[in-house]
Amino acid sequence: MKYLYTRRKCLLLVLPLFILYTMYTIYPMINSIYYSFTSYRGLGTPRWNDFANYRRLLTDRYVWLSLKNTLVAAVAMMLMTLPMSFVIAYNIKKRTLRNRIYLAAVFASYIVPGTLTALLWYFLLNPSFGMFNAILTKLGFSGVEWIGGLKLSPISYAMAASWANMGFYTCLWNVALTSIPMEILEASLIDGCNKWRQIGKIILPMIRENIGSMVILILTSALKIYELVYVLTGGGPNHASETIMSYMYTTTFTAQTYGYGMTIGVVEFTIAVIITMVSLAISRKER
Amino acid sequence: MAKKTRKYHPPKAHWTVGKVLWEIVLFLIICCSLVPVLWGFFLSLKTNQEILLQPFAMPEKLRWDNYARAFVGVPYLKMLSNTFLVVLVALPVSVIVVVMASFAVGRMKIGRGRMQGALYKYFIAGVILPGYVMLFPIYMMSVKLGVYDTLWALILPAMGGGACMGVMLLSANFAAVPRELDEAAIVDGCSMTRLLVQILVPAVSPAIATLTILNFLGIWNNFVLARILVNKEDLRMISQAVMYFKGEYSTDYALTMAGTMILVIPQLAVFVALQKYVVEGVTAGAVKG
Repeated sequence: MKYLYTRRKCLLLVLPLFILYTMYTIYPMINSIYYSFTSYRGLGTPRWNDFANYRRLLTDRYVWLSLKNTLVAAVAMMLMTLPMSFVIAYNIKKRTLRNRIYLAAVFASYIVPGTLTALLWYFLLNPSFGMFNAILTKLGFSGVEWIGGLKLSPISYAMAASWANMGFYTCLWNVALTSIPMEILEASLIDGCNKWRQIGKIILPMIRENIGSMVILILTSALKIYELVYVLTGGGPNHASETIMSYMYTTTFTAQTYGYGMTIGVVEFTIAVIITMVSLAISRKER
Repeated sequence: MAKKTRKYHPPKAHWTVGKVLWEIVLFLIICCSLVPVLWGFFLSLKTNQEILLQPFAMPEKLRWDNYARAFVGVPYLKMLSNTFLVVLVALPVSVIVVVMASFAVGRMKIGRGRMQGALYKYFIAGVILPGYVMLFPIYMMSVKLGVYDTLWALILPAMGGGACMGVMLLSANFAAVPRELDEAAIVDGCSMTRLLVQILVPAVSPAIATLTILNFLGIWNNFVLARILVNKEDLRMISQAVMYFKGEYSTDYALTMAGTMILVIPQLAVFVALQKYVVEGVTAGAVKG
């Protein structure tokens, strides 16, 4: 091996990616933390202002509102995505033609880019001519304000995001379900267990780690909802239905208060890191 | 009568009420997956009045002219060519660079491998970073580098973006190739470059295909970065198409739906053709991540 691999060759191979990665991932990260301590509006040089941005963040009610929206969306996404994708994955385990068609249909929604998903859902959710309200009025109920109002917007984001991610989570469930040895399931069937108890008491506990990582994935993806907000509600009436990510974009690029926007970004990043760390700690403890 | 011993077959499935119900439920869920696309297609063939007044009625005449208007109004070809330019430059470079680095990190063992370990952790650390926080610094950097509002501003981040997932995926694959290959290569007098290019890369080619697809999708679907880094109208990427529908043509709903369908339907067709690779790629990416 000494003839083939030298330290110099190794470093040479790593160098290009190292440069690009540092330039476009590590350095922006540090830079944004730096900007979060300044007040910079695009002119001149940034002015260091200690923790003023952070103090402003604590009293900015739009931040708390968007955090609440993000949380509601995350919980709604969990409740909508996980059970349905489990049902799909559980029922299409064998590789029959029908199952492959179903998998393709479910996955098709995943590859549609976020903005087009949002456009499609705009025409389902629009209070005046969207499909949902049209069905509701045909059935005799009055229309519901899915995206123009104050309350239901996070749930609308969750619906669109769940639709888009259904295929992905079906895949994840598939991977989890195939990791359970067949002998255990067959043994339980022989022992007289019916399907429901099998699911509840055997399958789900055995894939607890996978379920945990799926929950983490959904939570962190709720923190990233931006395109849906831009297309569906534009931020809601007076910033009422922004998510934390879209509010960061608004303060950074629309209002051009770059320093404060980066503060929000740093907070959002910290939340994501904390969630990930907590999940890693939990899964490590279980071992 | 002598019976041949048979394998154990589980009891043959038969149609019970429960099973029929489950079939229906499953079918409904799958239909829900297709409803938005079908509804969009349905709307794209109506006129604006029909959309507003009678959402459920069949279109009087199939208005294919919506598609013609959308095609003329939104510069699809220009956006496609811009996107392809970016992809053509950024995708090969990003894949090659990641392959090189994960080969070095995953397979070379120099001394006690501490350097590899440190480099690996450095690359992996980026996984938890949400990409959005870096929007503004990347914007400032492109201004300072003088590439703002050119296609280079989009190409460069695309080259650095797939690093974390790529290294995670590929270094595990590289490490999994048996060591005997290296020893056989030394014995046969093969240089490292030849070993890498002619032996190891084909050995991990499924993972490289996955990486390519994921990076491609990342560039194709990236909306926010493309929006803030490029302002000129004739340098837009295909992901910016939505801006026309939320800007100029926001009240022309039929045009919006037709324009959306122009993008969605080919993407779905390509997906159906490449379905196996995309599903495997996403699964692999998800499992590792």
